[in-house]
Amino acid sequence: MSRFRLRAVVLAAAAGFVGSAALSGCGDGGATATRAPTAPAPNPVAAVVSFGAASAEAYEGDTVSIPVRYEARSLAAAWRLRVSPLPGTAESADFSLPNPVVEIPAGSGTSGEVTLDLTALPDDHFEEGTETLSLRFVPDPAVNARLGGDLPVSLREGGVLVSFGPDPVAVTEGESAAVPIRYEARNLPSPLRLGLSALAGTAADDDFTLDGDSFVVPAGRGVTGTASVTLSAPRDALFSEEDETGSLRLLPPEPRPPGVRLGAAREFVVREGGASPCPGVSLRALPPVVLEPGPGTFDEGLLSTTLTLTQEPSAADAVLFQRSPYILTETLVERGWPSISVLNFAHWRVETAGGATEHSIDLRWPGEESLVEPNLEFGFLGNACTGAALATCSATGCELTTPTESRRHLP
Amino acid sequence: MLEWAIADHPGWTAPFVDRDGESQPPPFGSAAEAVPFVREAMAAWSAIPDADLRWRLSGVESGPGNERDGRNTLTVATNEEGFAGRAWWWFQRPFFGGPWEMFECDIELAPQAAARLGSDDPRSLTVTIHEFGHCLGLAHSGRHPTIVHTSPDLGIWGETPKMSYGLDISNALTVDDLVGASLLRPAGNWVAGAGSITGRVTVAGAPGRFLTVSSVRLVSGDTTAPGPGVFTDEDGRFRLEGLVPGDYLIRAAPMTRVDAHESLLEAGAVLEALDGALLRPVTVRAGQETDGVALDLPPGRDGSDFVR
Repeated sequence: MSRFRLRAVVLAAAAGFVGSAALSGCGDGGATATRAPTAPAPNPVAAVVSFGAASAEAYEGDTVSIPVRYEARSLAAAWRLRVSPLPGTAESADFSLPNPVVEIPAGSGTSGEVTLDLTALPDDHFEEGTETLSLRFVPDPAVNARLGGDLPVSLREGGVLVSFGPDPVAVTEGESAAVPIRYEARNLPSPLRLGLSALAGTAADDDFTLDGDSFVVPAGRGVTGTASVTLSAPRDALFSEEDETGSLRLLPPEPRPPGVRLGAAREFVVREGGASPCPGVSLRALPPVVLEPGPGTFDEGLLSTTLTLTQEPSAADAVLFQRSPYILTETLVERGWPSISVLNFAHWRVETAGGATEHSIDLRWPGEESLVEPNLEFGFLGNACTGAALATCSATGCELTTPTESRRHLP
Repeated sequence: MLEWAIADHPGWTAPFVDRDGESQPPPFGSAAEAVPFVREAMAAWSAIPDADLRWRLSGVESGPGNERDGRNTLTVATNEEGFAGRAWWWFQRPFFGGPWEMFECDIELAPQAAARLGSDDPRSLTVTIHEFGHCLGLAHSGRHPTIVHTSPDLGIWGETPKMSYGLDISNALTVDDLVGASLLRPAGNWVAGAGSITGRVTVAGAPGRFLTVSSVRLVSGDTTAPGPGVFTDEDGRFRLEGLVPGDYLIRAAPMTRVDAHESLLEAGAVLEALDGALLRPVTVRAGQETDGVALDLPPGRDGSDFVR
């Protein structure tokens, strides 16, 4: 458009008065091209309109009222002046101009200010940066008005970004761990409550708890902060479990407001924390495995585990007793063999620190189900341990068991 | 210097029937072929650094062996008779009283044990070593129930001093062998450098009569080593001797080979108790006795009325 207009001006300069006709012809189709070549009578300016600010900006989700100043010099009737958006880096989907018209009241020698509303539309992008557009008054051929220049408008990124912290989340049974949540609210007019859910993976639902199922991001602009929820893992009767996993997820409110961006789910690990059969004694064990053949050993096929036993000073005189296995087969019993321990203590390491003693004992035993006593069972006496739970290890793992069942009686 | 002789008994060169009823070739072509192996078994004892043991094998001598004839001999039984080896002790004491003294010891090996002497079995010498231990004056002991005994071993614990029962997985002497021989015939200043632990074992509060007590020495860092063991007396009291200074774990359990300890069984040895360990380390200092160690075991094992 501007290229054609420039060409028309050049032609006008070359042809003298013809150019003036060409310029005015833009408005009336050249119908007056045959008028006498005299200067046109001055057309008095009926109104002067301009934007009331040098620029405007809006955060996504915001509506900004743009001031428009006017001076009505000789407006016989109210005038509806159109405003046109000129996209820059912003696209039409980034903003809304629901009523692109300002209404200038009729008047003569009056002035005032009206407003034009523009809304910056939120989206799910968070890192696209500020986008721009311009607003321009659209000349009305019916009104001789002096219109001000374009108004640059900046659309600033808005919304809320919420995500879990970058560090891995791990909690040991019997303990709790804080799960940091980071948020960045570019423009949040009111507090935002987000939900949290924990999903079981290899960890079961009762292997962990969250201290809450939601948290609040405070309202504000440019607010950055952290929230925290506490993940706890209760101790259970098992004490030889592998690491177990689950995941935490951020949940948006329903209906989901625009501009809320949530980070990915975060996996967490529940680590074995052992078990405590009695005060002052705690147990932890590696999952029992069946030993492979090895040179110079008789261990093939035996079950093997490493038991870590921590003994606090309050249980200093506790005695560890072995309840089984003592016998291999019924055949040996029938032959009159006495009950012989078939539990081997392959290695026994001891460390003492701060009054506590930590025993690390490699245990091996024949664990076939066909044997009279396939399971390793042990318990504690003395201090506060008498009558406490027993510990049982089998091919499927180690756990505390209630000492209620009678021991097997042999003939 | 004690002297031993291999008795030129027909058992060394005769075919035999093993415990499974299978016919086997003679252990050796001649008794003389056994000499280097018997010397090796004797050397295992005389090599103990903390014991003063001096003996030699003179060679092969004619005669039956295993008779009271003033000679210490080693011979072979003609057939398997339900034993791997045995030592015949001959004691005497003056008419007017005084302690009994061993004046002769004859060793008799089962043919299978004799045949194993010349084999490449890693346990080829264990029976012979064991019977020589008896001739030193050591009684039965048993497997040490802890540390690197990774087969379902069988064994017994003997009155102190003690000795392994010859069911070990190699020809090496056990800690009970080493300490027992050193206590019997100590070399140098060994006794002064060792310590002891005394205490009492009970079973549900009652005296733990003739239970075995063993020790595990915490060497350094994360390593441990078996220490010696003993029997409790009729009141459940025990005394572990010949201990290298350091920290020890103490375990107690009933004997597991009652057939080797008929006298203790007749005296009321407690068999119905579960194995137990005092987890608190007990410190031993050179030349000192650490007293007051107490373990109470639960009653139990098969056939008992123990209800958990």
